[in-house]
Amino acid sequence: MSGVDLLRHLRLFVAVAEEGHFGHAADRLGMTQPPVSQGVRRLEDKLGVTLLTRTARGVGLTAAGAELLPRATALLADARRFTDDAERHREAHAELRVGVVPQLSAWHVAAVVDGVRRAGPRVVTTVASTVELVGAVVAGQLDCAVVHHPALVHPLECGSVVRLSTDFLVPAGLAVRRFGHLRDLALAAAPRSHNTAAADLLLDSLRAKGLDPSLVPAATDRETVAAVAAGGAFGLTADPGLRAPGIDRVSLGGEEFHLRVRLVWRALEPRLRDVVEGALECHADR
Amino acid sequence: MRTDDEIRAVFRDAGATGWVHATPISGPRREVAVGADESVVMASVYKLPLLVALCRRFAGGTLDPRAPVRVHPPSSSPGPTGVAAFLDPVTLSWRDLAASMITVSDNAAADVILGEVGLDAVRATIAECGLIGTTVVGGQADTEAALVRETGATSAAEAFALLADNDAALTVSAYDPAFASATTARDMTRLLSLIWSDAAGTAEQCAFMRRLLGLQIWPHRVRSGFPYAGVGIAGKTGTIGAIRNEVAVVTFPGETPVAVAVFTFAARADAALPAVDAAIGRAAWLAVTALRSGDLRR
Repeated sequence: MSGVDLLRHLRLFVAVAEEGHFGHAADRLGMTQPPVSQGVRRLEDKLGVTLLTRTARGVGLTAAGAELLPRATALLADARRFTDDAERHREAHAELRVGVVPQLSAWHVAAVVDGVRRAGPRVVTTVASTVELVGAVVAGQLDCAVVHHPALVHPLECGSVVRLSTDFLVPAGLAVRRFGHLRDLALAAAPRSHNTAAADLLLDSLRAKGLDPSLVPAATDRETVAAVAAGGAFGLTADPGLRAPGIDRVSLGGEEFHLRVRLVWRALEPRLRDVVEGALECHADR
Repeated sequence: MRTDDEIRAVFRDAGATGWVHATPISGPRREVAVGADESVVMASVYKLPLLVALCRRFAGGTLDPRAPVRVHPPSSSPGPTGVAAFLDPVTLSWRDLAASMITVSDNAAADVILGEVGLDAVRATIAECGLIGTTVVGGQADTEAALVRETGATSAAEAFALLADNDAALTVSAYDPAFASATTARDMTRLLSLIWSDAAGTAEQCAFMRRLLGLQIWPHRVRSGFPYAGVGIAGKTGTIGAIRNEVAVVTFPGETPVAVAVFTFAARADAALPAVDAAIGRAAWLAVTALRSGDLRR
């Protein structure tokens, strides 16, 4: 069949066969009649088979044409499915569904989104707890997620641990200079159910400093700020720019309190993985 | 809630993934299974099939259990317990080496025994016991050599420190059942059932194995789920990095003993995670309670 674009010519043949008229077929195809008629002729020449009967009353199918018409229709339908599927792949590729934990600052989220956008795909961001994000990636509802480490990530693939510098947020005027000064305050932090392993690690790290705070649930920086400004709690933030009235930002040292995050995915292009991890890394504490 | 769902919830709360199989050692087949046929890393649980292989040598008359063995600790596998913790050479019998290997998970004793018995004999024992999901690829010395190599550390101690670092979250072959000595929870309850029914060797050797397992000293895992007077716990733990295991037989007075195998992998890298140890005890309690032969009806 060299020299003949088979699918294009089959489209002409099917249109003429279905319309029973060259002129109507040309209208349907948005063409003029001569190229339609010449195209079908070229197909017949190449195949060495006459497909259509041309009489004064109109156009009919030869026995060969009748037998080959359903096959031609099927080929065209399959070709359409083929391009549709390719389209879907292209669209999936053009959009990256990223999940992030609420502890990740707006600043870091922007770094990730900006990095991915520069690499090509559009980004859709979902904010949810680590447990929910892992579930969504496993279910295929997200392409990847930046989760709070340590977490139960089985059976997902995971990248290296990125440590983001954090500071303590304390009620203004308390003059907090050491961990002991936090003793009478509650801890405003994500509920334990968001990720038991990370919550327990934070509490163990505080206990190692002689503290055993009660927990005020605060999933986001906004909720943490509200709880701390109210006076009875301290919290942690990984947002380098967070300042607010009624709140002092203090650095007490202790790298164990830095926010550890990690990218998890089920199937993700290495290129995009590098982009997301790179965006986190370049603002990370190393 | 179903027992297996309760067990999953216990592990989730403790921040670990868990695999469990429990079954009475005799009678009609009843079981509790959570990922019971999935491949899991054994860690020191490999000392159990090694013990069975050693006892077969005793029974076959090719190794005298009372023969003296000279062990030079500094040139053996390091470890926190038994001969591995000693500084000076000691001489003890094969059966006492076995006692140290099982009761306190002595790494040096296990390596000496593995050197004598050989991997082939351990594999033959595994095959004869019908443990189709179990492969032993080496002892503690081999595991540590691989760890040092993969972590780029200069010593086993340094490698273990890296393994316990939450910032590192290392992926090492010691964590991968495809590369490490591996088994399934179901295989291990099968092996325990064979030992408890005198089918893993001669009756005399099985009694010897049951005695050693009953003398194991650790109270933090399966035993923590059964802190009751009169309940017998005979088991073997296994620990490496985030992996914490124990396989045990739980015997309530006058009831059919229940074999239970619990394997875990923690999200946190910390060397000490009492919450996960306790979760192993709780999971074992849930599984065994569902299978007890005694009159538990309300």
